[in-house]
Amino acid sequence: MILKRKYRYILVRSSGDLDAGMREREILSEVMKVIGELEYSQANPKIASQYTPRLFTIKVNRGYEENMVLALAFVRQIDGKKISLCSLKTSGTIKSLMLYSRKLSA
Amino acid sequence: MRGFDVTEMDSVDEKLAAALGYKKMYSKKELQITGSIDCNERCIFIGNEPGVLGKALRKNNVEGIIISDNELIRQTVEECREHEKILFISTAGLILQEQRQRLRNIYRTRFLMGFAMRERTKIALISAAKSEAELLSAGQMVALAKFLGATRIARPEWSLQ
Repeated sequence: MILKRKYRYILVRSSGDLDAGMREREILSEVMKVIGELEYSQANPKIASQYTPRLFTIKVNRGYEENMVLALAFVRQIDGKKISLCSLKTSGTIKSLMLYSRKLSA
Repeated sequence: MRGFDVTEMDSVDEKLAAALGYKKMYSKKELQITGSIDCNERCIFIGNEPGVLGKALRKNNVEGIIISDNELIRQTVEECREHEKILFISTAGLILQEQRQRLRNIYRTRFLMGFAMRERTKIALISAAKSEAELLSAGQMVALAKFLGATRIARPEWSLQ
Protein backbone atom coordinates (compact mmCIF):
# COMPACT_ATOMS: atom_id res chain seq x y z
CA MET A 1 0.00 0.00 0.00
CA ILE A 2 1.34 3.41 -0.92
CA LEU A 3 0.51 6.18 1.49
CA LYS A 4 0.13 9.59 -0.01
CA ARG A 5 2.11 12.21 1.85
CA LYS A 6 -0.04 15.19 2.77
CA TYR A 7 1.18 18.74 2.99
CA ARG A 8 0.02 22.01 4.43
CA TYR A 9 0.58 25.30 2.64
CA ILE A 10 1.24 28.58 4.46
CA LEU A 11 0.71 31.93 2.76
CA VAL A 12 3.46 34.28 3.93
CA ARG A 13 3.77 38.05 3.58
CA SER A 14 7.17 39.68 4.01
CA SER A 15 7.61 43.28 5.13
CA GLY A 16 10.06 43.99 2.30
CA ASP A 17 10.69 42.82 -1.25
CA LEU A 18 12.74 39.65 -1.49
CA ASP A 19 15.30 38.89 -4.15
CA ALA A 20 14.06 35.81 -6.03
CA GLY A 21 17.44 34.06 -6.23
CA MET A 22 18.31 34.31 -2.58
CA ARG A 23 14.83 33.93 -1.16
CA GLU A 24 14.42 30.20 -0.55
CA ARG A 25 17.90 29.45 0.76
CA GLU A 26 18.05 32.48 3.04
CA ILE A 27 14.54 32.18 4.47
CA LEU A 28 14.79 28.48 5.15
CA SER A 29 18.22 28.78 6.76
CA GLU A 30 16.79 31.42 9.12
CA VAL A 31 13.88 29.09 9.91
CA MET A 32 16.30 26.22 10.61
CA LYS A 33 18.18 28.38 13.11
CA VAL A 34 14.96 28.77 15.08
CA ILE A 35 13.45 25.28 14.94
CA GLY A 36 16.62 23.19 14.83
CA GLU A 37 17.86 20.60 12.36
CA LEU A 38 15.75 17.68 13.65
CA GLU A 39 12.45 19.53 13.51
CA TYR A 40 13.43 21.05 10.15
CA SER A 41 14.09 17.67 8.58
CA GLN A 42 10.70 16.42 9.78
CA ALA A 43 8.80 19.51 8.64
CA ASN A 44 10.68 19.57 5.29
CA PRO A 45 9.71 23.15 4.36
CA LYS A 46 9.92 24.27 0.74
CA ILE A 47 8.87 27.42 -1.01
CA ALA A 48 6.05 26.31 -3.28
CA SER A 49 5.12 29.42 -5.21
CA GLN A 50 5.40 33.17 -5.30
CA TYR A 51 2.56 35.52 -6.16
CA THR A 52 4.17 38.95 -5.70
CA PRO A 53 7.65 39.99 -4.46
CA ARG A 54 6.16 40.05 -0.96
CA LEU A 55 3.65 37.17 -1.06
CA PHE A 56 4.71 33.54 -1.31
CA THR A 57 3.73 30.07 -0.13
CA ILE A 58 5.68 27.64 2.05
CA LYS A 59 4.90 23.93 1.84
CA VAL A 60 5.41 21.80 4.99
CA ASN A 61 4.56 18.27 6.05
CA ARG A 62 1.22 18.03 7.79
CA GLY A 63 1.45 18.35 11.56
CA TYR A 64 4.34 20.80 11.55
CA GLU A 65 2.52 23.87 10.26
CA GLU A 66 2.00 25.41 13.70
CA ASN A 67 5.70 25.25 14.55
CA MET A 68 6.50 26.73 11.16
CA VAL A 69 4.10 29.65 11.72
CA LEU A 70 5.78 30.36 15.05
CA ALA A 71 9.26 29.99 13.58
CA LEU A 72 8.42 32.57 10.91
CA ALA A 73 7.56 35.04 13.68
CA PHE A 74 11.08 34.75 15.05
CA VAL A 75 12.72 35.52 11.70
CA ARG A 76 13.69 39.19 11.82
CA GLN A 77 16.52 39.40 9.33
CA ILE A 78 17.08 37.90 5.89
CA ASP A 79 20.37 38.29 4.09
CA GLY A 80 21.35 41.21 6.32
CA LYS A 81 18.10 43.11 5.68
CA LYS A 82 15.56 43.73 8.44
CA ILE A 83 12.57 41.79 7.14
CA SER A 84 9.74 40.16 9.07
CA LEU A 85 7.52 37.33 7.87
CA CYS A 86 3.81 37.17 8.67
CA SER A 87 1.81 34.03 8.02
CA LEU A 88 -1.57 35.07 6.66
CA LYS A 89 -3.37 31.80 6.09
CA THR A 90 -2.78 28.05 6.33
CA SER A 91 -4.51 25.65 3.98
CA GLY A 92 -4.41 22.10 2.68
CA THR A 93 -4.55 23.16 -0.95
CA ILE A 94 -2.44 25.62 -2.88
CA LYS A 95 -5.47 26.71 -4.92
CA SER A 96 -7.32 28.25 -1.98
CA LEU A 97 -4.22 30.25 -1.05
CA MET A 98 -3.93 31.47 -4.61
CA LEU A 99 -7.53 32.70 -4.53
CA TYR A 100 -6.94 34.35 -1.16
CA SER A 101 -3.78 36.10 -2.40
CA ARG A 102 -5.73 37.43 -5.42
CA LYS A 103 -8.34 38.81 -3.05
CA LEU A 104 -5.60 40.52 -1.04
CA SER A 105 -3.90 42.12 -4.00
CA ALA A 106 -7.24 43.26 -5.54
CA MET B 1 -11.78 34.14 16.30
CA ARG B 2 -10.74 37.69 15.50
CA GLY B 3 -8.55 39.51 17.96
CA PHE B 4 -7.10 42.98 18.26
CA ASP B 5 -3.61 44.40 18.46
CA VAL B 6 -2.07 47.52 19.96
CA THR B 7 0.88 49.13 18.21
CA GLU B 8 3.08 52.12 18.85
CA MET B 9 2.78 53.25 15.23
CA ASP B 10 1.26 56.67 14.44
CA SER B 11 -1.40 55.19 12.18
CA VAL B 12 -2.36 51.71 11.00
CA ASP B 13 -3.75 50.81 7.60
CA GLU B 14 -7.10 49.05 8.03
CA LYS B 15 -6.47 46.86 4.99
CA LEU B 16 -3.20 45.66 6.50
CA ALA B 17 -4.94 44.90 9.82
CA ALA B 18 -7.59 42.86 8.01
CA ALA B 19 -4.98 41.00 5.95
CA LEU B 20 -3.11 40.05 9.12
CA GLY B 21 -6.34 38.71 10.60
CA TYR B 22 -7.18 41.40 13.15
CA LYS B 23 -10.53 42.95 13.79
CA LYS B 24 -8.79 46.17 14.78
CA MET B 25 -5.28 47.45 15.35
CA TYR B 26 -5.00 50.37 17.75
CA SER B 27 -2.46 53.02 16.86
CA LYS B 28 -0.57 55.37 19.19
CA LYS B 29 -3.21 58.08 18.71
CA GLU B 30 -6.14 55.89 19.73
CA LEU B 31 -4.58 54.03 22.65
CA GLN B 32 -1.13 54.99 23.78
CA ILE B 33 1.25 52.94 25.86
CA THR B 34 2.57 55.27 28.53
CA GLY B 35 4.70 55.17 31.65
CA SER B 36 3.16 58.40 32.95
CA ILE B 37 0.59 58.10 35.72
CA ASP B 38 -0.78 61.60 34.90
CA CYS B 39 -2.13 60.52 31.50
CA ASN B 40 -5.84 61.34 31.34
CA GLU B 41 -6.56 59.76 27.97
CA ARG B 42 -7.36 56.14 27.27
CA CYS B 43 -4.07 54.28 27.73
CA ILE B 44 -2.14 51.20 28.75
CA PHE B 45 0.26 51.78 31.61
CA ILE B 46 3.75 50.30 31.44
CA GLY B 47 5.98 50.01 34.49
CA ASN B 48 7.64 47.66 36.94
CA GLU B 49 7.07 49.19 40.38
CA PRO B 50 4.20 47.50 42.24
CA GLY B 51 3.07 50.72 43.97
CA VAL B 52 2.85 52.74 40.76
CA LEU B 53 1.21 49.89 38.85
CA GLY B 54 -1.36 49.58 41.65
CA LYS B 55 -2.16 53.30 41.39
CA ALA B 56 -2.53 53.03 37.62
CA LEU B 57 -4.89 50.07 37.95
CA ARG B 58 -7.26 52.15 40.06
CA LYS B 59 -7.65 54.76 37.30
CA ASN B 60 -10.63 54.46 34.96
CA ASN B 61 -8.84 55.58 31.80
CA VAL B 62 -6.24 52.80 32.12
CA GLU B 63 -7.35 49.77 30.06
CA GLY B 64 -4.66 47.54 31.49
CA ILE B 65 -0.99 47.28 32.32
CA ILE B 66 2.23 45.96 30.86
CA ILE B 67 4.83 44.78 33.34
CA SER B 68 8.10 45.80 31.71
CA ASP B 69 10.57 42.94 31.21
CA ASN B 70 7.66 40.56 31.94
CA GLU B 71 8.85 40.12 35.53
CA LEU B 72 6.30 38.40 37.76
CA ILE B 73 4.95 40.78 40.43
CA ARG B 74 2.38 38.68 42.28
CA GLN B 75 0.70 41.61 44.04
CA THR B 76 0.16 43.46 40.76
CA VAL B 77 -1.30 40.44 38.97
CA GLU B 78 -3.74 39.92 41.85
CA GLU B 79 -4.71 43.61 41.79
CA CYS B 80 -5.20 43.37 38.04
CA ARG B 81 -7.79 40.64 38.58
CA GLU B 82 -9.52 42.56 41.39
CA HIS B 83 -9.92 45.70 39.26
CA GLU B 84 -10.91 43.63 36.19
CA LYS B 85 -8.16 45.12 34.06
CA ILE B 86 -6.20 43.37 31.35
CA LEU B 87 -2.63 42.20 31.79
CA PHE B 88 -1.04 42.98 28.43
CA ILE B 89 2.02 41.05 27.37
CA SER B 90 4.15 42.71 24.73
CA THR B 91 5.64 40.32 22.20
CA ALA B 92 8.35 42.82 21.21
CA GLY B 93 10.61 41.54 23.99
CA LEU B 94 10.15 37.96 22.83
CA ILE B 95 10.62 38.52 19.13
CA LEU B 96 13.09 41.34 18.70
CA GLN B 97 15.82 40.38 21.14
CA GLU B 98 18.95 38.37 20.48
CA GLN B 99 18.85 34.63 21.11
CA ARG B 100 20.11 34.55 24.71
CA GLN B 101 17.97 37.48 25.85
CA ARG B 102 15.02 36.01 23.97
CA LEU B 103 15.29 32.67 25.78
CA ARG B 104 15.37 34.46 29.13
CA ASN B 105 12.32 36.52 28.17
CA ILE B 106 10.40 33.43 27.03
CA TYR B 107 11.09 31.73 30.36
CA ARG B 108 10.00 34.82 32.32
CA THR B 109 6.86 35.30 30.25
CA ARG B 110 5.85 31.66 30.63
CA PHE B 111 6.18 32.01 34.40
CA LEU B 112 4.14 35.24 34.39
CA MET B 113 1.43 33.75 32.16
CA GLY B 114 1.21 30.59 34.24
CA PHE B 115 0.67 32.60 37.43
CA ALA B 116 -1.81 34.99 35.78
CA MET B 117 -3.83 32.08 34.38
CA ARG B 118 -3.99 30.39 37.79
CA GLU B 119 -5.20 33.71 39.24
CA ARG B 120 -7.79 33.96 36.43
CA THR B 121 -6.52 37.34 35.29
CA LYS B 122 -7.43 38.52 31.80
CA ILE B 123 -4.36 38.28 29.58
CA ALA B 124 -3.82 39.71 26.10
CA LEU B 125 -0.82 39.49 23.82
CA ILE B 126 -0.05 42.68 21.89
CA SER B 127 2.74 43.43 19.46
CA ALA B 128 3.49 47.04 20.59
CA ALA B 129 5.14 47.31 17.18
CA LYS B 130 6.94 50.55 16.30
CA SER B 131 7.03 49.77 12.58
CA GLU B 132 5.40 47.47 10.06
CA ALA B 133 8.38 45.12 10.19
CA GLU B 134 7.68 44.35 13.85
CA LEU B 135 4.07 43.26 13.31
CA LEU B 136 2.86 39.69 13.76
CA SER B 137 -0.24 38.17 12.22
CA ALA B 138 -3.16 36.98 14.36
CA GLY B 139 -2.25 33.36 13.57
CA GLN B 140 1.29 33.89 14.80
CA MET B 141 -0.02 35.51 17.99
CA VAL B 142 -2.20 32.46 18.67
CA ALA B 143 0.75 30.10 18.01
CA LEU B 144 2.92 32.21 20.31
CA ALA B 145 0.26 32.20 23.04
CA LYS B 146 0.04 28.40 22.87
CA PHE B 147 3.83 28.19 22.98
CA LEU B 148 3.85 30.35 26.11
CA GLY B 149 1.42 27.99 27.82
CA ALA B 150 -2.01 29.44 27.11
CA THR B 151 -4.54 26.64 27.32
CA ARG B 152 -7.74 28.48 26.48
CA ILE B 153 -7.64 31.09 23.76
CA ALA B 154 -11.13 32.48 23.69
CA ARG B 155 -12.87 35.05 21.57
CA PRO B 156 -11.86 38.28 23.30
CA GLU B 157 -15.36 39.35 24.33
CA TRP B 158 -13.85 41.38 27.13
CA SER B 159 -11.47 43.08 24.74
CA LEU B 160 -11.22 46.78 24.07
CA GLN B 161 -14.43 48.17 22.64
